[in-house]
Amino acid sequence: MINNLFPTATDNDYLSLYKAPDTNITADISALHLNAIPTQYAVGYTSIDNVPYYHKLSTVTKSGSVYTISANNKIDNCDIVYVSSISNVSNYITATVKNDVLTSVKYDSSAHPTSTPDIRFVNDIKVNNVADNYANLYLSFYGVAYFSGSHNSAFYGRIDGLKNILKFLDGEDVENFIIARVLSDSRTHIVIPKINVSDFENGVHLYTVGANSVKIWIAGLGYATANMPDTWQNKNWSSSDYGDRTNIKTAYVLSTADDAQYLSATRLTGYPEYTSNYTDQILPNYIKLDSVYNEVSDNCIWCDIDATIDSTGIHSLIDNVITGKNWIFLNNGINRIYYCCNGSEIRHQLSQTVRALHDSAFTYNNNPLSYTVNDAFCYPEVTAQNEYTGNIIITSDSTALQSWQNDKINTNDYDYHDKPEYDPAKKNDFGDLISNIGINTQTATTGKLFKIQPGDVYTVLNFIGGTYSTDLIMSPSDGLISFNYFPFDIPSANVSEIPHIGAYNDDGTIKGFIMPVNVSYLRVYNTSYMIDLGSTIINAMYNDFRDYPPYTTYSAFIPFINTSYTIDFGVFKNHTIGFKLIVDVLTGSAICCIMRDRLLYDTVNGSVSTQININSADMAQYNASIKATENAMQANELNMKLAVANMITGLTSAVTTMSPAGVGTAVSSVTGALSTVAQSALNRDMLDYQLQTTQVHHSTIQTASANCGNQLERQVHIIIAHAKMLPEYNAKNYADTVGYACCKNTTLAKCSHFTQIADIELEGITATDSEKNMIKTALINGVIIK
Amino acid sequence: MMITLYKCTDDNAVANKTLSDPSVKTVNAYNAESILSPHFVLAYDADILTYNYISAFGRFYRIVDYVLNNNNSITLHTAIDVVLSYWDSIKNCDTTVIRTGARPTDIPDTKLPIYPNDKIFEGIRINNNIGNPCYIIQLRGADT
Repeated sequence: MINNLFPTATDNDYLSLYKAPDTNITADISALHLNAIPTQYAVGYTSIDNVPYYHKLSTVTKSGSVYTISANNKIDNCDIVYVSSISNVSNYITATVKNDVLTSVKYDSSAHPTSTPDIRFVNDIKVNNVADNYANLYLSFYGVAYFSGSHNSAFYGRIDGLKNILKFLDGEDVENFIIARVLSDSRTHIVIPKINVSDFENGVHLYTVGANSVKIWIAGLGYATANMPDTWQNKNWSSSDYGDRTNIKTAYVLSTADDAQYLSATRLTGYPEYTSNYTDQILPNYIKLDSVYNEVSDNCIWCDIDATIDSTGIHSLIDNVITGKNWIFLNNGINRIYYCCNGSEIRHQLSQTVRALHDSAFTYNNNPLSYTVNDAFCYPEVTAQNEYTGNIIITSDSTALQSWQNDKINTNDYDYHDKPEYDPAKKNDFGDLISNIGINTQTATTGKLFKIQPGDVYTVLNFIGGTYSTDLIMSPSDGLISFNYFPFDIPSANVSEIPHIGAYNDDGTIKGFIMPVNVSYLRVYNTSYMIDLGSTIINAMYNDFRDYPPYTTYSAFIPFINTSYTIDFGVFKNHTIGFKLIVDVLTGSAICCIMRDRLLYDTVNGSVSTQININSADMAQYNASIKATENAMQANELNMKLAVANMITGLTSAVTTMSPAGVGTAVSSVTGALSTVAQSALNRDMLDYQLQTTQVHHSTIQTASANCGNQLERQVHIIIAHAKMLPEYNAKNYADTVGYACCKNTTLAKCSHFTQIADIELEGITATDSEKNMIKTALINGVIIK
Repeated sequence: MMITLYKCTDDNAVANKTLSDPSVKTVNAYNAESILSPHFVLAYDADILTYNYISAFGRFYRIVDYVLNNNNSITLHTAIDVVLSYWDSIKNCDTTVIRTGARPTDIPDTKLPIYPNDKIFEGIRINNNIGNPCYIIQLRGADT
């Protein structure tokens, strides 16, 4: 048990971290200023957290300022424990799991919220063998934490060695990694410390780029006593021993006042508070962070570092990169590195400076196509003068090399690079568009807009529906222009202003009406706003034709507009699809902008509000109509009863007399009675109809779809129907005996498994004519190439 | 003339077969015949029956049959393996390949055993931070 999970420092210059518990963890995290943590709260979160399978709730219980994380709810299988003073991590860290395979983890720093604190756990992200190679890098990406501003955060990852997720260079599995809190003036930073489970010999691998001073706090995790290391392979980093700060579980602090410094901390010796159970054999050798790629092929998913993480130094490689021309820009400004995965070609470009610093960072093997990263990305000091000089370009194809050189871009923007006509000078065309449409500053001039909460609606309606004649107007409803329900929040002022309707008397008193004062009226100044419904990355499942229609279909349910939008996978593959609503507050009409990354790709129109029309005439008509309708229904009920009574009387008369005439009279009477009943029923239907329409008149539904849509989900849902393989399918056997369809202009030397050609140019072969024909026939029929 | 016998365990469809255990033998041509399917006569040796490939005339031949003669000789019926014979040259020729590789590509493959109707459904909910519902009231001539 580790007590004092988070230190009780009065300042916020500390880090907090802990080990996933084998037993309950009790921790005082009040120092994180988590002033709104519920007493019991934990969520297993993935981007598909509505799938129960991935929900493994754990609990956090609170007693005073002490929080206990229960150990019996799969915490020990937790892949990520994320603790932060932020409230909503839903768009902050998202993991996508497909068929028990972790396919992506997205870290979206732009979604970093700023309000209510929260604790969440990412539980049971499954990684199986298929995805191991990818998972290596995804999990490396787990190790990238993002801290900004004044947020207090700790990011802890525990990796099950059986999952073979992340290995160090020495082949040992990473058991834990820790992201410490980073404090800086304003910049964001990345830290990837890694600590072997048995000792600290792997040291810590840190890097940051920023123009401001940086401090990084690293704690000892309870494995060793912590002393200030006496040797650092540092470059312009200074360190301070905080071992005497016994109330703060901080082993030491690293700091730099310089930009773009690289640090290899090699000794993390014991800290006095952790001496009891663990040795502190911390060796002064530096072992690099390592990720291994195996069998990187044209379906390899490559890294796509979020552009917003623009001032970071250490990156793990892998995320989504499209097959084709995919460029990854790691650092803004003068620090840059590009990678490309194009078909079966793996190419990357490093600067000369990078090469000098890490000349063995990458190992490339052509056969089998593999690419080994021996080191984390850490390439500072690339300048504008040398960034394209002496690049390392790895390719086995001179044509591809030429293509690579032609394709490389000289911009720090990574969007739209796949457009052949892309002009970096116009890179802001799309990016600015959304900000323009998102800021419509047209002010409502025909009246003033106020936001009121649903709980106050009854009070307002009662007041508006009343008739309180004044010198100026007859009813408050005369001052009502529109009344709309919106299923989401509309930005407004924070302070309530009680409006009144009407002018002033000469003595300054109000002629009209003052709205009920016990209602909060928050002024809304603009007539249109942009509502961000969020975004996600559209990933491929198979990375081949099966990901495209008709084999796989993609659609998005857009809430409020209540529309199913068909996603063109060819457009959005491995790109972010975003949904932004531009809402007209006056009318409730809306445009949903479908974004491809920052590009406005498509729009869907609709109506998102329920408009409630109320005025004095409506109210009078409403009341009168209701009353009249009710009276008419009562009269009609009476008529129906009379008609039925007449009908029964006629039948009785006919039976009594038993005369033909009597029968005829009775029949006639019954017929008339039935006619009356029918008419009465018709009248009743009509009155029902009138009553219904009258009721609707009071609360007019502008569009049924919006009204109904407002009752549905409030999130965009992406629905993907993937192609499913028959259970007998065996990929290797299929490759050996049938082969996979393709269209490649190549040589047979580059082919494998069952291979079939359309034609071949048999040049330089001294075979006879018959033999050449036989060769073509054999190859057209198909051969197996080992 | 001399031929070399080989053993080969690869499937006939393999282009770049692996031949092993070469054994040089003296043979006679059986008759005037095509180089595509020549016959060779050599002294009988039971060990010969364990070979199934030969090289002769700068080409490789599959042994398609053995005929035991009554003069204690054996006749090898062969057929040329043109792909293996010229593989070193063929493999570097420009060609358009329509099926190959260890996994599917972006080219639709109607042979691939995909369920015609059954699908794997995936749902991704995009969380947002749009706040709580509210009412917007627009008042004419309102002052505050």
